[in-house]
Amino acid sequence: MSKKITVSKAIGEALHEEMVRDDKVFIMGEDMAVMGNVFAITRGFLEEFGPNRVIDTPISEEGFCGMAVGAAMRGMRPVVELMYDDFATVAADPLLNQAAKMRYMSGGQATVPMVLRAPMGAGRRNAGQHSQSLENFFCHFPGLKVIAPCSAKDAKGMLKTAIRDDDPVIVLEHKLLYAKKEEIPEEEYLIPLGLADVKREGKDLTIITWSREVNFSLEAAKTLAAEGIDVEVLDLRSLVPLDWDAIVKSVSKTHNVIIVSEEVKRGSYAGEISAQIAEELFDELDAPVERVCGLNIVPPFSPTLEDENFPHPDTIVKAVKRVLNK
Amino acid sequence: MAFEVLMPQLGLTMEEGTVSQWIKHEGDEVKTGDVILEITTDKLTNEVTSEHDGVLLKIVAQEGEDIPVKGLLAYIGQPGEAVGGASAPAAADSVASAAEAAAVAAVPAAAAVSVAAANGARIRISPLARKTAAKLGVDYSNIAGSGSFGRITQKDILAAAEAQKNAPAAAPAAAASAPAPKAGSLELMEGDTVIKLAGMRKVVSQRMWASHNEIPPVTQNIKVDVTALMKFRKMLLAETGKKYSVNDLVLKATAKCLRQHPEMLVSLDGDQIIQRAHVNLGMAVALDAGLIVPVIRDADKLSLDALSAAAKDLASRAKENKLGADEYKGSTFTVSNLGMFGIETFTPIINQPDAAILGVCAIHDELDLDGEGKLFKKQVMRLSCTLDHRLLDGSVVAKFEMDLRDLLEKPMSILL
Repeated sequence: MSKKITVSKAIGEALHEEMVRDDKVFIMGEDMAVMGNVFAITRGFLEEFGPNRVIDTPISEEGFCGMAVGAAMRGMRPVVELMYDDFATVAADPLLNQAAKMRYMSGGQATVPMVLRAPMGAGRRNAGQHSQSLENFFCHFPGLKVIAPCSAKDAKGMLKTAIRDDDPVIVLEHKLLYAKKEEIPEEEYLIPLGLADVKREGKDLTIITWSREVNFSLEAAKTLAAEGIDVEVLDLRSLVPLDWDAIVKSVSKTHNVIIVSEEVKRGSYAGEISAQIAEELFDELDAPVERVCGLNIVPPFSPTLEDENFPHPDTIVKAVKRVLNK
Repeated sequence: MAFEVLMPQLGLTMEEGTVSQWIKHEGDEVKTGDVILEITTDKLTNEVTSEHDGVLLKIVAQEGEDIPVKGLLAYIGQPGEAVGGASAPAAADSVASAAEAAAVAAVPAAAAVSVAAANGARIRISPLARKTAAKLGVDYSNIAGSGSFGRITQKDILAAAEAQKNAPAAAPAAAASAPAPKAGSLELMEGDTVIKLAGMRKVVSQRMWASHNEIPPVTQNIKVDVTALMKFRKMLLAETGKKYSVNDLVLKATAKCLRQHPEMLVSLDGDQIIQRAHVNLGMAVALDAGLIVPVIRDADKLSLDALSAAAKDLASRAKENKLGADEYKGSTFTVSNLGMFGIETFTPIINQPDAAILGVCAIHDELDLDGEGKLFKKQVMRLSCTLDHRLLDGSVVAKFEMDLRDLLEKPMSILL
């Protein structure tokens, strides 16, 4: 049995199910309780679980992220939301120096089973400080797991797994996916971290992507199919750990690759994957690996300019044709 | 990920090599620098060493197989690892399995893998296409690439391989055109053993066959009185303390005489005759495994001392398999000496692209009559010179032989 719900509802269901299952799980963040989250994900949670488990915080990212690290070390399972992933810079120390390193620095005596949900991405005219995609930033730090699901089904199943994981997990949620309605299973399910998913099989070229660009890539694949170009869309879903086997399998089949993400191209995680492919799979390549990313600029507010600053289906179509010289 | 062991290119002109012996076997542990196998190339045996630590996972090219340069020989990796790519699907999807690749690679000797275009420019080719070309033995120097900026892609290589398969008779190199009588047509008798024609024996076989079939040969024998030469040799020993072989003196005299007879130094190239500028003396050296002809360059410009040293050095390194690939190329005339075996005359086969070859025979005593009818003893040696009658005529070569004889009979002038 399946049902059709929005991505934000699917995320809400994941939080709800885990809070019911385990009373160590609590949620915390700006506008999470009374308002029920700016994307209405936690509406009704305050009434159901009470103010000890659904906590509104002041605008103090470093403070409440630090609280979450401490609570997690003491055995709680905090699920914290940064209203925008851009604010991670404010909370850099608790996230990157404490949460990421605590298990190692304590010789395994302490773990940090916290989840940080971070809405990200461009397209909402939120301008330079509220529109970034910071995959590279989080993925750089050993000790953090980083996931970026696209579909409602993946968003729910992977968030539930993340909450049960004993290490800190960053969940990157694209703001413009929240309102998308999709089929998900009726019954409870979990999706493991570290597994990519072939969202479309193809033989001519592999599009490696994640988050909202998965949908754009699937649209591009449809356009390309009409022209006889058969692309595979590999949704990484999990950035760290990376499903390298899935990449090897797909690249060894198609021999042509583009990597699509909304990040600033310079220093992007897309670039990291490209480098790994060049190092390990050089002899499988029939053309240079191309990164299809945002420009090396501050995210613009102007709608016209912003729309130029992340890959669209037609950008992807052009990149595929460029790589295949078609 | 398993690493491929590929046929190395030893010397600019090497096109293929033969797997002569596997030192390591499947399952053996190997370390960087370990000798994994021996290969025979154009007349030389070389060792191939490992560039990785691990286990010899799979031997792809069997002993006796001819593999083009960069062709796949084996895989080295971790125990239990799949070969042919990083994962099983990779192997399944690649265009040719290792075994197929080896089988295909063994076919075309003419299909050596090139790395530079005819004009010497770097060729734009994808890594996958290059690997595929090596596996299939496709020469991609003249393929127009269909990828961006004219890059050759795997598709282009597969198309070329297909075309190559459909036109197998495409202009094989002269040396490779030896007839390949179908193996297995001879009836075996009790106790017979079968050895694959490979390595040096195969090269010698092909070259001799090609020369013998292409060239109308004439062999002319001339008798040389070497009594004075032998005395001269003793004199040199007494005065310099150095022992020069008869061969050294013959090489020196031949080089000197060739300089005076440039008409001997020609090569036929289609409808062109090439007048060679250098006296590059090929020197046939017999080995256990066959025959090799290292070349003494500009032999006419070397002193007897230098020539003797060069000959000794080349011969000893030839016997140890340590000649560089370019040290047995580029002869313009060859000397083959069977004198030490007591051979009185023979009909040497020309070492192409030379126009002639000088056979040097044994020295023995003869009786002769002097002007007064008195018997006397002298030492004689025969020279057997085979000429390519397309290029040279008997009288021309006879004059060369007479001059060479005169030189050897008045040995002091050899050194002038």
